[in-house]
Amino acid sequence: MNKLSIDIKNKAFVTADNKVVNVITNLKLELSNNELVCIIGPSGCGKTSLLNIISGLDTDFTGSIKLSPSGTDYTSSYVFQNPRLLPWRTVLENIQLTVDKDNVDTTKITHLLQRLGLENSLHSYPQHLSLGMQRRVSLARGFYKESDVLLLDEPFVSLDPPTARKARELLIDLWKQQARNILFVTHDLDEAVKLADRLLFISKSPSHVISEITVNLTRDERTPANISQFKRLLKNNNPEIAHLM
Amino acid sequence: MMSLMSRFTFLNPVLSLSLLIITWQVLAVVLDTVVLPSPLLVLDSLIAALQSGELQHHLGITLTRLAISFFLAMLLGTAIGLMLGRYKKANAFFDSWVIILLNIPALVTIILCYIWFGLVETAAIFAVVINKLPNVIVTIREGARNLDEDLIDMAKAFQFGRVKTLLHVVLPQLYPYIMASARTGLALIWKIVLVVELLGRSDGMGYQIHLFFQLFDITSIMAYTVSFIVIIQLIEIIILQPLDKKSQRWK
Repeated sequence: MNKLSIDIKNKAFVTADNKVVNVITNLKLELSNNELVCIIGPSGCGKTSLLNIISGLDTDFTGSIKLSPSGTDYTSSYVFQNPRLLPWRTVLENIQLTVDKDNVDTTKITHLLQRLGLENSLHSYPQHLSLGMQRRVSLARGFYKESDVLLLDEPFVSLDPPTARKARELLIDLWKQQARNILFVTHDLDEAVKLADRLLFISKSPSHVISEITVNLTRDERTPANISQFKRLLKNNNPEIAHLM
Repeated sequence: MMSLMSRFTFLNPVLSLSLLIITWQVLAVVLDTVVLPSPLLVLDSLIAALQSGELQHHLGITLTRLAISFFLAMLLGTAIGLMLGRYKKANAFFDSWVIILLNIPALVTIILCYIWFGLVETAAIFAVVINKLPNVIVTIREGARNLDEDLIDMAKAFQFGRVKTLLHVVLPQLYPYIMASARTGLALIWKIVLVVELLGRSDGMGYQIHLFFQLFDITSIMAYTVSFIVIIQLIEIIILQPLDKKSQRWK
């Protein structure tokens, strides 16, 4: 049992002309039992701010993030919207760097990269890879580092549809192998329904959770037809979130 | 055609250097004056200085001073420049210091160092470092301001820690700036070391050239200058260019 409780009372920032803008207010969510949760919300609603808070990049907020039973001491790994690989390190080195030197398990990394179809690019520099490949490396890096929660910030945006579909399948594959809590931010409802155990709909900024929906389809049932059927039902039964679809 | 072209590009520096020497020779012959000795005379004097071991001795001392002050200035300058580039408040506070240091004439700092610390080695080294330091700071500060925040955040999100972030994320980005300040710095330090030696040391290239000046021994001055040029070329080819290549290998 590893329950991550996120309770953000307020996150604000001050603009250049000294106005205080509240980005997030009273946003609560929980992740437990290695589930995959998708966060859906309009653009500019503070989704990235939320991930930055959880990852510890942003400490300027009120509220708390706790892992039970161990307390505030949790680890996260992050797959950013852009791949953010170090251009002067090879694919392999980029992943090795995420853990302490003594704990590097190159066989495991190689295996991971193999599953992602990157076995021939171990020693390539990121610049020589396509964006899709760089994204897969970034995904591998996020998975290689063991963590209590894996954060993904629209990692497949601007990939062509077949590549994105493949990447999603790989994500589910890796996640089944190395179970952990995943928080996946997207604005693409199809993608969310395809991937998630649960969907969290977030309001415009200052954002909070409007609605929480469990996706009651097994992963094998999530065909395009079933997904659109699910979305239709969702829309009819939940008018409060219709504007987000 | 291609091979001819590439042979020409290889020959270019050789040709241009030969042209320079020929011009020098022609001028020396035409003018026939004691203030412009011919290249052959200079070569003779160079060989004589090498045989007596005097040149190696003084060149060695100058190179040691150069190396010590160069590394001190680079190390301190990189650390301070990085700090000022990353922390806006520190920069706002110390900016005027940097500008003052940058603009004090080299001669003033050298003389002050000798007056305050005496005519000792430490004063000489310190004077050179003080002259070079602000240039390194300014260049590295510029680099530190242009660091890619996305990569810094990535390092934070993966808990890289300070040392790993510095080695793998920050320094590779500062590398071009470090190389630029190393190159301009080397040129500057050469010039300042000689003045420092001239003013307050009893050995080194600067001291020797001062001596030759008093003896009006122009041939020796030029012989020392030639040895100088050779050393600079060697540093460029043996140290700087390979470093450049190594840092560019991922591009």
